[in-house]
Amino acid sequence: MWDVIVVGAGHAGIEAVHAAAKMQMKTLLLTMSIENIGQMSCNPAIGGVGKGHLVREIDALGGVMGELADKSGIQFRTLNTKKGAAVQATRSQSDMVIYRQEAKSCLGGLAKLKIIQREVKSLLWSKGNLSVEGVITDRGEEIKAKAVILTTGTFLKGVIHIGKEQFSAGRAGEAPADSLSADLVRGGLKMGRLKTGTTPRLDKNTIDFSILEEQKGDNPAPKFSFWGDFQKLPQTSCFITYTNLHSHQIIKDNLDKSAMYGGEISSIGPRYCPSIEDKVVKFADKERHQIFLEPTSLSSIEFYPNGMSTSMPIDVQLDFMRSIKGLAKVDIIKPGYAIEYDFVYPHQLRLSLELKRVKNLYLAGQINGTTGYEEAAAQGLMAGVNASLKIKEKEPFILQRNQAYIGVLIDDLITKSTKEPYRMFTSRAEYRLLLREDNADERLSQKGHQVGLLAEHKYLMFLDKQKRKKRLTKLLNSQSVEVSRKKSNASNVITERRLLSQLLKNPEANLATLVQGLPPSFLDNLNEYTKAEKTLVTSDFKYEGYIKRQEAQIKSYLKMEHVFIPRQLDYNSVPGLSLEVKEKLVDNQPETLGQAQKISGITPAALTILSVFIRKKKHLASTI
Amino acid sequence: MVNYKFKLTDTIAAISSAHSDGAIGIIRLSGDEAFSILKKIFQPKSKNTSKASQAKLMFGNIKIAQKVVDQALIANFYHPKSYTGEDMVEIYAHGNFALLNLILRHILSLGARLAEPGEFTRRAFLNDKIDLTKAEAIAEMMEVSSLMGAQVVSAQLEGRLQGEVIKFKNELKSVLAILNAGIDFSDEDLDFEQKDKLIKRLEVVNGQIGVLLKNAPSSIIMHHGGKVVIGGLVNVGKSSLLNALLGKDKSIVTNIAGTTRDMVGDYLLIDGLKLEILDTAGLRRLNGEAKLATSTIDEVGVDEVDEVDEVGEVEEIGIKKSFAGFKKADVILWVVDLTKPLFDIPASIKDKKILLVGNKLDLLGDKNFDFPKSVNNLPKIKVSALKNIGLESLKGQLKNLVLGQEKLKPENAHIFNSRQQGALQTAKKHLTLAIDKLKFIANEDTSAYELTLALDSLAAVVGQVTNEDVLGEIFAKFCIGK
Repeated sequence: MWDVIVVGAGHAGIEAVHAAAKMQMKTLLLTMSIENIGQMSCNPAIGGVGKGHLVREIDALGGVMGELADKSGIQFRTLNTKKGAAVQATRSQSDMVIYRQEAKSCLGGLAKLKIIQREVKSLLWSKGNLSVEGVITDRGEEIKAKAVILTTGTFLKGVIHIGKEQFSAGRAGEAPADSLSADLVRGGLKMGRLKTGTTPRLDKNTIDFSILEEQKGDNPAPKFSFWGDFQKLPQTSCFITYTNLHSHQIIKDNLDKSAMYGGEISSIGPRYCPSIEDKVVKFADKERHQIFLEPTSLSSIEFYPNGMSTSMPIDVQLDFMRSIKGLAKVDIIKPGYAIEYDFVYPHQLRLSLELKRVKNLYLAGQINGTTGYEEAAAQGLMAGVNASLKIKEKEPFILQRNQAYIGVLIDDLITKSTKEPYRMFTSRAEYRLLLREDNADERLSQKGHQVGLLAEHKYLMFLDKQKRKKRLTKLLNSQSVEVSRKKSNASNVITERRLLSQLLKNPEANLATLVQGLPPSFLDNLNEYTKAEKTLVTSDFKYEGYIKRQEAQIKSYLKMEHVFIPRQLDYNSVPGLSLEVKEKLVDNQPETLGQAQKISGITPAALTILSVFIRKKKHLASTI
Repeated sequence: MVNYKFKLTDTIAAISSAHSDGAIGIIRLSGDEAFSILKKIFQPKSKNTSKASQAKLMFGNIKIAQKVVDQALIANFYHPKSYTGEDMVEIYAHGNFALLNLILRHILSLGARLAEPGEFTRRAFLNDKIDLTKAEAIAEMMEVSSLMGAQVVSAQLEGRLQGEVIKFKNELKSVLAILNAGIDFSDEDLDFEQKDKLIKRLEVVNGQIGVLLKNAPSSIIMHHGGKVVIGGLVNVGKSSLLNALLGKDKSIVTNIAGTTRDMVGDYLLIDGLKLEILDTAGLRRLNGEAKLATSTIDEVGVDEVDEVDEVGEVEEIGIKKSFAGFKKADVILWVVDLTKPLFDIPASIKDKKILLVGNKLDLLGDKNFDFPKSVNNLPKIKVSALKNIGLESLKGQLKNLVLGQEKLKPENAHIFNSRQQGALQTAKKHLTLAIDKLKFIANEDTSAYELTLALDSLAAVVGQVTNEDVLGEIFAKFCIGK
């Protein structure tokens, strides 16, 4: 009898087994291919705006993605340096071969974890399908466990399209998991279908880099992990090129051959990650589209042309690629393709990622309609932690929207469900100014340690960092600077002394400039701190006012979040709700008024009626 | 605050007409039981009862304990085609307040509950019959007593403010979307609008909100009416002016200084603008200085004494009363006697809108009078309250001064209460901050946040985002049954 079985060894599966094993669960990982543990099936990059925030949060909680990205990184950049500290984000290019190796060696070090190569054919359902007791493999073995976490990615009834060709596959070259998908439908889960696309892979030796724009990484390289410097690989560059009108003509002339435009695929793809066919058709007046040529590995000749996903036939893909500057003689190693797959509508989940209707079954990653390694990893971690907590008979670990992007992600999935692949954006977070990359540890490490995920030595590092931060804050709070300013309506210049911490609140403030000319004793003290520490404290000063303001908003948000809707509430018995609203509520089964409020189409009037009704019910219940 | 919990489904009733005797009194019922309760107290005159029960208007008897207490006309409104969106009945009985109360009490004994202030309108809101701005407009309509106010309210009922605010919201939303896209897709080769263009777009909205706010005081006065306070030294003819303006003997007028003990006033309509005009006790000069003391009626007999050496206790109270009146005034009519021209205006009222009225023009005869330079910056007019000279012109100036220089047209008076004004001010504050932040580098995140706050405030104006507290506040202002 296992504690936790995780099905699938992608980015969600890795975090799930890691969390469970760290929390002392007897954990079994079942994967169809041990070779492909930690495969980066799309682009060779980790992080980016919103996604980088997720990686830092995973790392702060004690997950592995941050370290894996640092260890396999061959280029690191900080994005949005000119947009504001809260939305600054880290992005890396990974050597995907090394990423897989590092992932495997990380899991190999977990004493409580066993990995077996098997396909799971179905779940072991209890009578009435109200709970799950384990899995049944392709060899007919019944393996029992207290909790099962499905992290099957795009494998459920996966179908790949290249032009008019189509075949069943979980990823290029890998078999799909068709029977498991059918089993979930049998078990009563509401499933939908999504699509996504990937780009052709190019032969590095046939690209003329000499005429292309080079994009180097930042120096020094920013890193993901809070817990040390794990970067070790030599750094390399990406290259930038553009499509042209000739390339667009090739696409236009062949649209009928595209799987997406030829009517082969009807399911919904991500609007923010359009195929080149989409780009050419929908943005017809754009004369060129940018392409990042990204190395996939230091040891591979494969290059990934980011932004060029396509489901054209192979010959059109080649014609198209060769029309582009620097790619005149390019060879395609693997064609791009579109993939359709089944997903489970995520509003059927609880905030713990356990299904509302089926006990002990957890879902994480693309199976929940998300896209992206980082979104998957974040859910995997939370599912692993929550399955373990339930087995230990402890309260679930829920992050609120004001605490983490992970909280925003899961709350969105459950209250809004999803019609297109869900990707994280910073603009999804109402409390964006609080959720910075650089304070993820402050927000989450204490919690990660408390649930038993974050290792003791990392926790001590965290506490030490907090102490240093406190001292630096005090230092900047105690030093004043002489500033002169001219009032707009006065001719004389006013000179006054203001605290550094005050001055740093100004939008244009810069610590290095402000401290020029201050006494050496102060500067010596200041120089004891790293640049990162100074930036962190400076940001804190800058956002202090906003943090206070958002606290009031959070209070009213949490108030709604804590009004629970009775599980068995019959919405038809609530007078005054429109039919449309009733349908949405029945469909979504919100657990709290806060969740109900976030469902699209729920009007303030409907919410008021609902809140009055719930209170009336509670009132009656308490008086009877 | 009124507590609305648990009261959405029962049937409510209230007297909806004025709470005093009149020709006709109205009782309203709303809720599932409205018709069945009516059946128990009302007997239609029509013989064909099945037909009668479907009729919208019926005439018949109101019966309590088998006794006919009144004859009444009944209007039935079937849900959802009623004011509240529920089944509704209106009973038009005779307007004897005691009788109306008797009928209401009987209705309540049959299972209806007394409506809370604003509850009919609250139900209309909850049943999606009206939005929040319209709910407020209806509340205000109850208080309107002037034509101009009614015009402002009808503009609101048509959703003019809502239309304006939705325009602002859409524009801010559009800019916010571009800012957010720039943040979330900064790594992509997208042609976003340049920052300076975004700033310009925000500044345009900020300017438009500014115009609405600039017009706000006038809009509010147009609706609620304005307050004009008459002030001045003793015996300059303040009360005569009041009476002349009102065209009746409101204050007692004698030629004895200090006849007006308390503030006396009434309403005056100037071209549809409702103004409350108040008279104050006259002030005296104290030791020849600008500090002024009032006279009181106790001093009848100390005639012609314009100047005193000390201020008595009773007088202190008078001073306070007069100055409290000035504080609340939208415009002060400061009256001087042209035959004894003294121009000390108390410093504490100098930030108010003042119209200087030179009275007793008739006593000057052929003499010319020029106002001194010290009052150059004040609008002024010469009148004779007694001989009715220059009063029409005074009214014209007064109206313009109350409404401000902008000559606001009633149909442009979008804001009509301080809640809306406050929300718009908050929106403007955040919008201004958003613009300021955007001008600096690396502040797009904070600028976007200010924009979301501005949007929240705009949403609060049109009631698209609301919470129970805002609702409670608005609906608590309503009179029972309206």
